[in-house]
Amino acid sequence: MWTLERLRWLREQAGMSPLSDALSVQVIDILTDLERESANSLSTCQTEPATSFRVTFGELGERDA
Amino acid sequence: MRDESLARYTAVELCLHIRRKHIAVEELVRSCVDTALRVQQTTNAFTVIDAEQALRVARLADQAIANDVAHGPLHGIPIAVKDNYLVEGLPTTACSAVLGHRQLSGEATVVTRLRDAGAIIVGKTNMHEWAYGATNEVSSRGPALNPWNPQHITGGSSGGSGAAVAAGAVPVALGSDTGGSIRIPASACGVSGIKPTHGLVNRQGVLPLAWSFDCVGPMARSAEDLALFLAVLTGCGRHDVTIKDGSLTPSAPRRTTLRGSRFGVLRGDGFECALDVDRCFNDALKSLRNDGAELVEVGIPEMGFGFAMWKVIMHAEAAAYHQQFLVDAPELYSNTVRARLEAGRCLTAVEYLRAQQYRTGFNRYVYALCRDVEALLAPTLPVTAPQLGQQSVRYGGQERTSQDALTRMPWLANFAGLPAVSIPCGIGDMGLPVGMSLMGGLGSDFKLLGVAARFQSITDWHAASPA
Repeated sequence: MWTLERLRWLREQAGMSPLSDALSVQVIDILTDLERESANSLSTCQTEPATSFRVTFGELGERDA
Repeated sequence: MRDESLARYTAVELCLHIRRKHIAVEELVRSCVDTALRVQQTTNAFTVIDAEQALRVARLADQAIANDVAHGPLHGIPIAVKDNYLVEGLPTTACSAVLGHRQLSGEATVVTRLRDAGAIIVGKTNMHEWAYGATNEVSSRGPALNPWNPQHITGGSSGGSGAAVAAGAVPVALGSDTGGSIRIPASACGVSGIKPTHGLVNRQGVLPLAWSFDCVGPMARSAEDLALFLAVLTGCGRHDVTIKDGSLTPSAPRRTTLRGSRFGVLRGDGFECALDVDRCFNDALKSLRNDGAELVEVGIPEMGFGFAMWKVIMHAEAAAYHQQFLVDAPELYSNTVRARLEAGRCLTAVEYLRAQQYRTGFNRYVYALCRDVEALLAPTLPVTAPQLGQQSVRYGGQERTSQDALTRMPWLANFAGLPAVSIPCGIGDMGLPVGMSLMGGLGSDFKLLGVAARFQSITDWHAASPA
């Protein structure tokens, strides 16, 4: 989960200058959305087509499967 | 011939009229400059209008025609160029204050190709700051406004190019596309645009956003014009495009029917849209079916996850390109663009590489779909152009940010590196244009344009223009 503290710590470790609180909130929103959209699995995402790729979708999908 | 009528000709038509000496190039360029200056008041489409130089080149083009010499397939055709292309003699800022005081020299390879083919640069166009946004509201030159209704956005990031073509200032303009930046404003402004196959068109001299996805391409009034320009942009059409009695023959196959053609209609997760867009899209499908096309419904799983992976790659690559600018002059970025870049700096190498690895598998599925059809069809955008300042839109039972809504379908072609064309296919409830997207297999660019041109020969949505 992204928080102001985590962002500040990460930037400090990387030697980056601090951000204003307002900008930090925007950055956190973007990173939080990314985590949500990728089901919190950015670091464990599939490296091969997921099994759901085998699900059939209409005529083409059936033939592909 | 009255000046205002010149603004509605396609580039293909203008090529013929110039060669037959029905239209003087100077008259044409003057008409374009006058229109550009006029519509600039209402659309803010241009960052610079270079009337003096354009008219000087136009007079030389007329002298050549008087001697029965044409310098290339685009002899005398006025164009506009997005402000992230280097153009010799004109400033390049990517509509960002970061580059406002820097002098960038040189010229993009494709701009030189167009000049060599006879095109005349009338000006440069407004864009979303650094091409890093889909609305064109964020720009050091102020937002670009939709010629159909200036209360609405043009879409972006090539919003000025879309507005310039839609408003009749130029027949063709150049854009760039990392997640829909050509097709989004093409759809929102009611013009045609193509994102070519990744790597097909040279990008040297065009400021990047994310190199894995970036493509450059044309926006125009017809698919036939797109084919003419794409042939030149790829470098294959400089000397071998011929004109014979009204028919240009670059590489786009001329179709007389769609009988025997099979198209996939994208439905399901990731392809939801507003009711008026759905109505226009279904009417377009009916036109294709009436012309003999076979349509089959298909879906692509994990569209939401793929969308997130596209963003991971884009944010990371953009942050890498902007690394030094962010250290030197962070205060010169707008807050929204800087926030995206700073988010990209927080992503790890592992996350970036995992996203790229995921992309490989995802694309394998998409390529398999493309092998069985001539094109995959979908609305270009799920909604018509949002109002200026509108932060979110609601469709398909969900509320999304305008940025996410506008990129939610177009990203797919960039993720897969595939060519995709957007063409007008109707007018929505708000009186704003709706676009249809045709996406094909790698390298099928001209084949797609042949289908798009056929659609435009049986419908007339591409000829509609703002009041």
